[in-house]
Amino acid sequence: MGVATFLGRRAGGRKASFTDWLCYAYLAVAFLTIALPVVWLVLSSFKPESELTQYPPTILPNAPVLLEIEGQPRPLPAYTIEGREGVFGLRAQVGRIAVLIDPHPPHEQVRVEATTITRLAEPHLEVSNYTEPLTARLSAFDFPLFLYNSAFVTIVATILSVVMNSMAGYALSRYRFRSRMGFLLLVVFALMIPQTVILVPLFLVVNSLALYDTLWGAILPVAATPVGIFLMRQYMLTLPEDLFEAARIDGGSEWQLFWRIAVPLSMPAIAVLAILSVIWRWNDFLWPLIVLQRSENYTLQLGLNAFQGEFEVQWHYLLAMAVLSLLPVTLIFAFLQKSITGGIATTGMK
Amino acid sequence: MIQMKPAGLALHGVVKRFGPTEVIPPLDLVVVPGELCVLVGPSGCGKSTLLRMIAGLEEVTAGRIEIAGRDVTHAESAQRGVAMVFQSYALYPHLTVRQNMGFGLELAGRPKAEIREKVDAAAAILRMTDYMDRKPKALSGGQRQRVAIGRAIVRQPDLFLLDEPLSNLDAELRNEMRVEIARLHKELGVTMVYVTHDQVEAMTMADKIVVLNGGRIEQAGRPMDLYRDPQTAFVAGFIGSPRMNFLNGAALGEPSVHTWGIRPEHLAISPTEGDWPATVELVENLGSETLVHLQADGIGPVIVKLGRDATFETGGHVFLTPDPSAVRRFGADGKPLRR
Ligand SMILES: Nc1ncnc2c1ncn2[C@@H]1O[C@H](COP(=O)(O)OP(=O)(O)O)[C@@H](O)[C@H]1O
Ligand SMILES: [Mg+2]
Repeated sequence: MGVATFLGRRAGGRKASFTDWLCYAYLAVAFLTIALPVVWLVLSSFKPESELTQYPPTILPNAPVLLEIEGQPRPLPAYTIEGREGVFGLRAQVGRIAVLIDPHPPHEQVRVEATTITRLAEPHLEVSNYTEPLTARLSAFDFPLFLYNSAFVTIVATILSVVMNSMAGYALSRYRFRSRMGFLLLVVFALMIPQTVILVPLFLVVNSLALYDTLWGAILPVAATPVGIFLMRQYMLTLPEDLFEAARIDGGSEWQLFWRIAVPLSMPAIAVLAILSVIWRWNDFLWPLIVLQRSENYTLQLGLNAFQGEFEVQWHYLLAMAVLSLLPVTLIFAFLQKSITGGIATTGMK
Repeated sequence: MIQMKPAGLALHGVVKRFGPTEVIPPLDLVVVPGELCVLVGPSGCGKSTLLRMIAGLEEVTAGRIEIAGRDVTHAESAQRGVAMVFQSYALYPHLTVRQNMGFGLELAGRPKAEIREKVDAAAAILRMTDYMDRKPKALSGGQRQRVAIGRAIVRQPDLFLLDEPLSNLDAELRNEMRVEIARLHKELGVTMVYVTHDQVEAMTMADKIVVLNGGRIEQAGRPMDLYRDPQTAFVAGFIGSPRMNFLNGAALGEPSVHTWGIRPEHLAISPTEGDWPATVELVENLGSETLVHLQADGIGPVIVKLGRDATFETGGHVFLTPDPSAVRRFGADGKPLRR
């Protein structure tokens, strides 16, 4: 299917109906609200530091045109003045008065109202926003280390999450034991409690287990999630009981029934769970912020925080590194998109 | 090579209750080694429940189950030496035919070479050699059925359990597989317990038929014994196709007879003379045989089966004569009346 036919899809009929238009409008609004901030982030990450604070803000990444002028200690930004020919270097701006210098001898000084001058800019990608934090080892930002920490937390937490949630889901869907319903209700209730509510007790538990300020402290409390248990249980309920009985007659142990039958057949749900877990853990900020203290334990999301100093925010680095931290999850989505949507459709999850 | 040592099966006072409802009242049954025993009965009479208790998939409420002389009442399924073919086939969808058939041996940790050899042998018996690397969803119904049977054969069980294995197949395939299973039973010399609601399957395949009704055994015996000498009206009506004509004894001048039965093939039809005048309502010509639906005056609807091609005019008047030696009379309790 080409892009045009894809975009022009209709519910049916030869002409787009009212509901089709409504649908397009809704999708367009949704797309813009989701995509615009990301586009803005990416564009801004390529702007030089001075451009970020420019008012009015520019859309595309530009850099000011600079003029080397004899007698001036440093290059001056180029401006045009309303009603005058030529380009001038801005030396100072005090209140509403701007002081400009003609680059051509005899370097005449001009004082005009600040509202009458216009800055000159040229397209420019400030790649150093990316390269400097990555290579120059800025004081507080150790990208490779943070990347490693993030990857470690994400991968280990996801593996644990898949294993534990699918085992819990298997037990809740296959075994008949007393208080089975009670357990399930507990899980459903846990679904309704926001993480912020249990933050303090969770911290106390983690602290008393000597997990404070370790990566495991960021991993273990979030390994088994109510969402994951519920998702796996619902999916495994749909597997036909006959298969498990057949395997039982074939001599399968409980573990083999789980591992050889339930797990392979639950792959769509497991894929969804794994991908959700990767996204959650990768983007997690609040819990790691609380549990991780020393900067050598920081994940990327915490590391980005280092650009927000006490007195100034290094926006140009912050934005560039934020773009980098988005990449892995974006790539996962791009490549596994089919299996995510397919899996969600078959698990009945929205 | 595939070899079985057929095992006998014995149920002693086996009871099954689901909560308060008793699905199987105390039931005794003996299946001798090498026998093909067909459990037949209407839907919901407890056939599957009984089979699942034998397989160890369902707890026994009371009583004892023995396989090969060993008490297995509380043994795990895998310890009973049984293999089961499910109505749904229950093939593992993520495994190939070969893996499906070898699954039991693989779980038991048998060497790869042995698994391969046995799976190949079973595939040859079932003529499935060309499909070994397919997944179940790429197979037709009949092929899936074969794989399910193959999976059972490979494990060389002492006892084969089959729960309505042919009910998902179309009529032609059902006939074919019926013959196939009967052939397998002979070739392998294995004990089979075969559940079906189809009395034709029961009649054609069984060494012994067990007719179940409401969880109770109505009658057990060789097919022709059940056909010739039904011990209850239920069996008389259940075995044989089309079913036995049940007529009201009072209408025939025998008030002590509650149900007066005669099989459709034991009625003679004549245009000129006979015991009961009747009107032809419908003629079904099946080629080799003809089914005539009639209304006998003052007696009720009657079906006659003729072993030949015959033509009758709908609405025409004819006479029917029952073969006196083939008449079965039953009392109000469903038991046969001797006279
Ligand atoms: N797990 C169960 N719980 C309660 N009742 C059941 C259960 N399984 C079967 N039954 C009941 O037992 C009876 C026999 O069922 P079943 O053995 O499946 O019949 P059949 O195989 O002869 O059609 C039915 O009335 C059914 O409703
Ligand atoms: Mg059944």
